[in-house]
Amino acid sequence: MSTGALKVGNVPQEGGQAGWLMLAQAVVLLPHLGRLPLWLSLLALVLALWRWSSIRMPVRQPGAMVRGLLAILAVALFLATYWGRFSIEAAVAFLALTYVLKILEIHGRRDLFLFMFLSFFLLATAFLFDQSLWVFLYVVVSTTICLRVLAGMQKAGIRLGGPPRSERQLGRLVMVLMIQAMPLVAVTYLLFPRIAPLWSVPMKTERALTGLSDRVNPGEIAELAQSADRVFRARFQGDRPPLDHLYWRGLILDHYQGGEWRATDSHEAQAPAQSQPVSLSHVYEIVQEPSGRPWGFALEEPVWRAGDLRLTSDGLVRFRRDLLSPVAYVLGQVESAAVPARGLDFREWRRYTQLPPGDNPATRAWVAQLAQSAPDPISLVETIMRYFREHPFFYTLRPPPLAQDPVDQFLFQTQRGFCAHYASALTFAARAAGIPARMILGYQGGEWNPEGEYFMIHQYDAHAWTEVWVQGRGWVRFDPTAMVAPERITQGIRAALRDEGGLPADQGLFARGGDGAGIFEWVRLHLDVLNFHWQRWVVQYDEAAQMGLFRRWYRNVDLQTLGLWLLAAGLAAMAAALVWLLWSEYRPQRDPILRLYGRFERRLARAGIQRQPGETPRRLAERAAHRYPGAGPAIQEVHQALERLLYQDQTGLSPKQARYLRGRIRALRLGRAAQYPHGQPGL
Amino acid sequence: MNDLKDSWGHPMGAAAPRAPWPGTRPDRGLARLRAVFERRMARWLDIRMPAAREQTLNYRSIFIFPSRPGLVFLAMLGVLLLAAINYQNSMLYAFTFLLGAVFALSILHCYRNLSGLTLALAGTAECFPGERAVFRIRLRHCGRHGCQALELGWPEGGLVAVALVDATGGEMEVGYPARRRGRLRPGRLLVQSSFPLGLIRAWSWLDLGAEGLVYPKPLAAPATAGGDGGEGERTMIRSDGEDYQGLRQFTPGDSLRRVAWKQFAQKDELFVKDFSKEQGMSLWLDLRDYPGTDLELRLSYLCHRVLDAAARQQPFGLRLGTMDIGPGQDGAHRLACLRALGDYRSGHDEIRTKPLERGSDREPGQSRRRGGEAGS
Repeated sequence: MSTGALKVGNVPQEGGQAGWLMLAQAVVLLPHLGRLPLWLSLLALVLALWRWSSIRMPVRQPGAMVRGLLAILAVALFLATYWGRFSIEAAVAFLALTYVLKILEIHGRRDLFLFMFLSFFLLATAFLFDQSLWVFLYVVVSTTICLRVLAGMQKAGIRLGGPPRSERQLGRLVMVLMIQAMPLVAVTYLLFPRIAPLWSVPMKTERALTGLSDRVNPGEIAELAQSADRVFRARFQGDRPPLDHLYWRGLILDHYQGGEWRATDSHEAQAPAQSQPVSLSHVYEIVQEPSGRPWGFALEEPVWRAGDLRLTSDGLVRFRRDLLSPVAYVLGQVESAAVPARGLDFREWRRYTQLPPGDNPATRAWVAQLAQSAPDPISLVETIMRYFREHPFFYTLRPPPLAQDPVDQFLFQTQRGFCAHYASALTFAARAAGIPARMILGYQGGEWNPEGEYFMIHQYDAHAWTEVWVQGRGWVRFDPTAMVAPERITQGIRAALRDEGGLPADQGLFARGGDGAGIFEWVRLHLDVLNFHWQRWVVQYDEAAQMGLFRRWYRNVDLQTLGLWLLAAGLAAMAAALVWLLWSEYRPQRDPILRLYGRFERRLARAGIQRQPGETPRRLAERAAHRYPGAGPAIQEVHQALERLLYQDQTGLSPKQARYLRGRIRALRLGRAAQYPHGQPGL
Repeated sequence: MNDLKDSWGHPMGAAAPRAPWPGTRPDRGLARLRAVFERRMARWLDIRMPAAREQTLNYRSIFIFPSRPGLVFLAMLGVLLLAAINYQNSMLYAFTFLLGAVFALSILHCYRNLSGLTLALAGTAECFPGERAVFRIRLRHCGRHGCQALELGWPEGGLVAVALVDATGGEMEVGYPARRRGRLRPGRLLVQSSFPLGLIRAWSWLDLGAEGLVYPKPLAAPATAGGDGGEGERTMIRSDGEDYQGLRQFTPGDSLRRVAWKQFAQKDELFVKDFSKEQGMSLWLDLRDYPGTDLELRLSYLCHRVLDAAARQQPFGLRLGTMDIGPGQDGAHRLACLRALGDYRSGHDEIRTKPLERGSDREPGQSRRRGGEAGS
């Protein structure tokens, strides 16, 4: 039996163990399948099937030669796929590759142990990509399955006294372990000191590629890939603002070169601390999913209320490091009237009017012509905005590609595009007229979740618009997309794309069913609320939250106190588990028939028929039947069955019988007692 | 039960525990260190868990430590924790704590599994060198869930996997390789289990006072070995030739070919036909038959001849120094001779004062002291 659970031929009983091992492999690999390259997923499938078949029937195991070649080939494929990408995804893929190849290398108990530990490790990496409640629950179930494999590796050996160990007993054991572990996990999660990273994380995640980018080239994008991934959730204190108010600013693209807008880092100055109290029009809490980038989102004119973040002087939210975990923060929006207008200094002026010389000559000429008739900058910008409305511009996610002089081509030829095209053209035109302007990248709108009363902002809500500097008023937002497709702003992107056949993200298997309400929509919204609270209360629990919690309940704590508390609470939880174990081991076991009889007696006692001292069960049943004539036959039936079990049958109580009798006892209708004029007759 | 003594009055349980790391090959310095450590350990164990024929495992006698896979598991938890800290990943923290909690709880489960287990020595072992001395051990567990995935035995003899399914318990056999003639003391018995997940190992070294006896290895004496060519002193008891003598009661060891089946059918009692020649000559096997030969070798020769004579149903007696056994020819006699041979201790030729005593196993009347007649 040195080969552990896998040698099935000589120990037929272990066949079930191999099944559990296969199941464990499947559940460990499943959450990663979408992220792994196709060839790796296929390799996993083939090798698992190979292993499976070799257990079920006499299929030859691949020899050392074949295995070695396979490993070399797989590593070569891996290098070809991930060359130059030193990311978390690549690391997880390599781990998965090792795991998949190890399937063929399980020869003994030691290999099996290593394989199971690798399983745990690979399972854990699922959290690097998603920390939602669903992934947590999935991992808990998968861990139980893996532990079941470990438990099944125990040698069976000779059995003394009694029938062989049943498979269900092992399952129960693992369940008990998991249940006992939960309070320990909760205590440790609360009390284990959260500390800052010991060293900076060398690996980035590739997830940042799917979200906003700090450079945009509208001409190059032929089709905007938009996903239905959640970016963040925003909950407003008090009234919710209308959708067209929700411009979530993320990035300022201020540098134009060769058709591409880019964010320069020079605007990352710290916002001046708010000295005097200001009146706020809105206060909102944002719970943001990890994006792999250090960017947060805020409405215009934000002030800090809570959270570990930095506000720049341009009103952008920045985190100390790339976001790899969900984060929560609270911001306020200053009432627009209360914002003092600030002047632009020379350097800023130059930055926001920067344009490379020479390109897009038609636009420059057009703007120069408009500028002659415009009295001031703002009316010039409004004239350009009107141009978008009055000409046949068309909002689409599948614009024609733009080559040379993209702004000219877009404004005067194609006139088809999405938000970035319009914002880019407007910003370019404003700058061509010498007006400071910048492109803002972020999200617009959001889906209202009525169950949780918050907005859900998805990737497909990504938006670009323009801010123009107006003397005396500061930066003023202009959204040219609203001129072309006003429903995009007031109703969301779905409304804007109705002509195009809807959002590409909706066409997936699990995407929401458009605007269709119904039970699925209700379930989807409720699940999202659950996940929102999970992220807000559990996942987001970090160093600051831990300290805040203890400050509120107790007082300032240091690491040492925390450690002591952890030790004490952990020991208490362990002691409780030990008491449970020993109690379940040594507690006196009562006869199941007597237990059933006790249940019967208690049922009667609740109906007012107490057993008198010395009263036999039969007398008691007769008395009860007399008192409740309606239930008489039922009482007699239960009584007779119990009497037979107690005194006649030697077979004992079968589970089916027990279930039936329990049901009968519960169903006894002891509602109305018989009315006797002179009280209860002496029975 | 500290006062258990063996048949020579020595306190039992003095045997050192076997190395719990069989198969390792230490160099000399390490070996010395290990020897010192083992001696101290043995002394400490003798004080903490003195020898007794029946012992119940409890917190005093159970040791618990992570098994080798368990240590690897802990290292993996350390890596996971580092990842959780460096990626500030709450769910990685939670997962690490979950596995850590399972690990901690499996300590309790492992202890619960072993504690309350009662082991008792049910029978001793006798065998020839090269065979396995098989000891019977009775197991019982007072809890409800029994005792899962148990391994017990002496590392030299191989561990036997066993599971007590419920509280009734049972008996099992544990072997120990017999190498040399004489008293066999396997030392402390290892009881271990890594239930439930294999990450934690709980074990105990119990001294059940197990003691076996190893007979000499039977060797045919070469013709030149000395003595009179293997024939001992012959004494004619009866010399009536090969005549039929009549019937006598069957005793174990008699050949079935000589059973009087007719009488058996009539009286339902076993008789054997007695021929005077078979009994006529009693063979005395003496340790002094092979002068100048090594004692162990002499005992081996004698052992061979005992077996040979018993197989041929020839009556024989055994003379070992001051002790005479026999003559006789039945199974019990053969067993007594083998025991005497196995138990014979050099230097006790003349000064031996006490015969082999084996408690209930002792066959009365089989051995008889010759006292001062030694060497006459």
